[in-house]
Amino acid sequence: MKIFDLINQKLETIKFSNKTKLLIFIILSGTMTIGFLMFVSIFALKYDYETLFQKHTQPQVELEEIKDIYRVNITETLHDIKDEQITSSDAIEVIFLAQQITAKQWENYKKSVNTDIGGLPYFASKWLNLFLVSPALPEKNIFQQGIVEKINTKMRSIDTQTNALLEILKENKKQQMTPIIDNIMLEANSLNIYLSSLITIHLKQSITEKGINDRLFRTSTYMLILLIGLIFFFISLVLFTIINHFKNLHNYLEENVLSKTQELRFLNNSLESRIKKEVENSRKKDNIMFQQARLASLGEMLQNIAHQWRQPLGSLMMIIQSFESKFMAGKLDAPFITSRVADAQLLSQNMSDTLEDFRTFFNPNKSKKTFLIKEVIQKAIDLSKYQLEKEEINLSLFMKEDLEVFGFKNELIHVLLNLIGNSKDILSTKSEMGEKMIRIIAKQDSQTIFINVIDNGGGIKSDIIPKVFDPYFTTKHKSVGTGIGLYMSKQMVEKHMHGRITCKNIRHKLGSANFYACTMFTIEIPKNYINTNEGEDNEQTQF
Amino acid sequence: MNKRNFELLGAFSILYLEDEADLLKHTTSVLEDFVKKIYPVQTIDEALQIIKTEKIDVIISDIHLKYSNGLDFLRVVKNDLDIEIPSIVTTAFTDTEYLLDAIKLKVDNYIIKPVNIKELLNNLHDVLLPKIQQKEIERSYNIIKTISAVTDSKQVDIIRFIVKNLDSDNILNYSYSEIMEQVDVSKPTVIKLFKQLGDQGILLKIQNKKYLFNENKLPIPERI
Repeated sequence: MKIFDLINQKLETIKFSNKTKLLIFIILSGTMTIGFLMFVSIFALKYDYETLFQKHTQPQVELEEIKDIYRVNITETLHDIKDEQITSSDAIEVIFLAQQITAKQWENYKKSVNTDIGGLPYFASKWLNLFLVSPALPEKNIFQQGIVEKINTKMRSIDTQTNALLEILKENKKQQMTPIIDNIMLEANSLNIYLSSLITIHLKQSITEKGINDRLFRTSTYMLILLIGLIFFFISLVLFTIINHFKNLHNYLEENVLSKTQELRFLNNSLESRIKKEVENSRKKDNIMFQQARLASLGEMLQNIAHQWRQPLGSLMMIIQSFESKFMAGKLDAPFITSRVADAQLLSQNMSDTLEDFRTFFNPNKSKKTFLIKEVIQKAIDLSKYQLEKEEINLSLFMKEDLEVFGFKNELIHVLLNLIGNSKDILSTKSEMGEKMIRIIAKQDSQTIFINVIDNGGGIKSDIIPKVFDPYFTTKHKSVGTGIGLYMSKQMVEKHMHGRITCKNIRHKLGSANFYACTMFTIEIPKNYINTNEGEDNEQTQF
Repeated sequence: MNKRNFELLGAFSILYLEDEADLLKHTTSVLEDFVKKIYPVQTIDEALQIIKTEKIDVIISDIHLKYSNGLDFLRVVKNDLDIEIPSIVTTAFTDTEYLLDAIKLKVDNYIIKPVNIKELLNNLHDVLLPKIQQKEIERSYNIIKTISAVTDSKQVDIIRFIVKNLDSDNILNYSYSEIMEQVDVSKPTVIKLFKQLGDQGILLKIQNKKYLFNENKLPIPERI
């Protein structure tokens, strides 16, 4: 296992792609080796088979035939000659033929024994023999050669004796024939014995060859099994490491994901608290912003109050001085005093009313109630009258019938003041323009009340129209605009009146001969929205 | 109220342009005690109508009128109609813009609202003073002419010569003979007059050919 671990460790260091390459290499080389070995084995077996056939089986056949010819043709013919059952010419022919056949067969035998099997099977066998563990079989060639020599000489002596016999046979010398025939028959018998023993030798060799063959087969089988096993082992090894690699990768990823998830969860938690904090901050900011806006409009209102007070104050002063001057002129009589006191009371009552208006505007009662649109618009106009007169702006109100609305009265005044103030601001920059006009049109359909505020200040640039209701968006100089007037107006209209406020550029005559480029703000208030005061008070206090 | 003599105002007519009804009414009721006639108007159109038909001595106008401007009215009067009338403007503003316009229009005075009636009367007096003095001079001249018609005209000629030739220190640097040459009178007449004046302390001889004319010794004439 130590080696295994070592290899494993080595493999661990290899890159994943290299591991797969190694695996593929092992599989390919293994397959090739197995294939090669199988071919070699097959060729080696083929060689063995060929050898067995050519060197042992075929020679046996040849030898058997030679033996048969000697026993049947020659010996039998010699017997017939002895018994004189055959004519001498026939006998000569038969023996001659037999001699030729045997000579030929013998040549064949020697040829097949001595010729080696060449080509691929031979090399395969030779190559495979290198791996054979068992020692090579002892050659029995010397014994075999001895017998072959003996057969050779015996065949030659039989030939010569037969030739001699044939000569005698031609001359028909019967008395000389018998000893030669006997001698030939003897020789033929011994030759047969030799042949038989040669056959036996070949048979025995076949058996040993079979043994070798078996061993060869076994060896190659074992080698194949070994090789397959080896390859299987390596493949498993590499696969195992690859799987290990995957496992590690999986574990690593899982750990990674886990840690990242934890981080994310942590981040999420902190984000939640941060969002909470930011929301609170922005709430605070909004509150401050609304306070600022209130202060800004308070400043503007203060200017209005100052103006609205200045005129009656001047009159009052004049009345007071008139007492002195009349007294000095001796014209201070009862009717004069009565009329002047009445005037002064009226004037101071007006001043008091003005003050009350502003006071109620800035200390709004926080309940919704039904009120008349006309009253509200008129109040907004009154409150901004001084500014409009100063800029010489002509404001006109068009309204067919008085309309009722349910909601916060002061908020609608505030919104209208904002719109009028914006129109005034833009118109005041157009000093060269002819007539500066603001027109307020109030109308209704079955469900909604529309209040349009139109000014001929030239319209709003189209690229900033979508932004005009955004908080802190202002085109005015920083010291003039806070950028929250319209934002606040939108909040009031949408949240408290459940209406809409929109803005677009139009062309309108405004009652004159020319068309003007105008900006129109439209407040839409739904009529039938019956709302309770619940839940609205908190929002209301913000403004 | 005693510094200036507001009774002098009683001879003049005033056009008062003010768009605010209350103030117009009360100011008018105060002013009408002092002046001959006051024409209170609320709009420029009315004011123009008055100026064309009536004899007006001074205009008092508010600068800030509803949808119009008092200075515009004055511009029409002074430039377009070419009428030279002293004018006073009143306004709630202290804007330099208005002030500059007002100077260009040769507005005679400028009152910040709320109007102090004494200040207004003083201003009226100041503005009208040249007119008053002009009248006074005319009157005096007429008196002298009348006197010379009923008394010795030679004596009047000598007095006229003396007053005319006084230097900055009220000194007369002439001898009798020189006076006789210039005025064509007899010596006894000159001597008699100089003696008369010397007795009353009006013409004192300081040295030869040098006489001091003492205004304070002149008898105060009764007002007409």
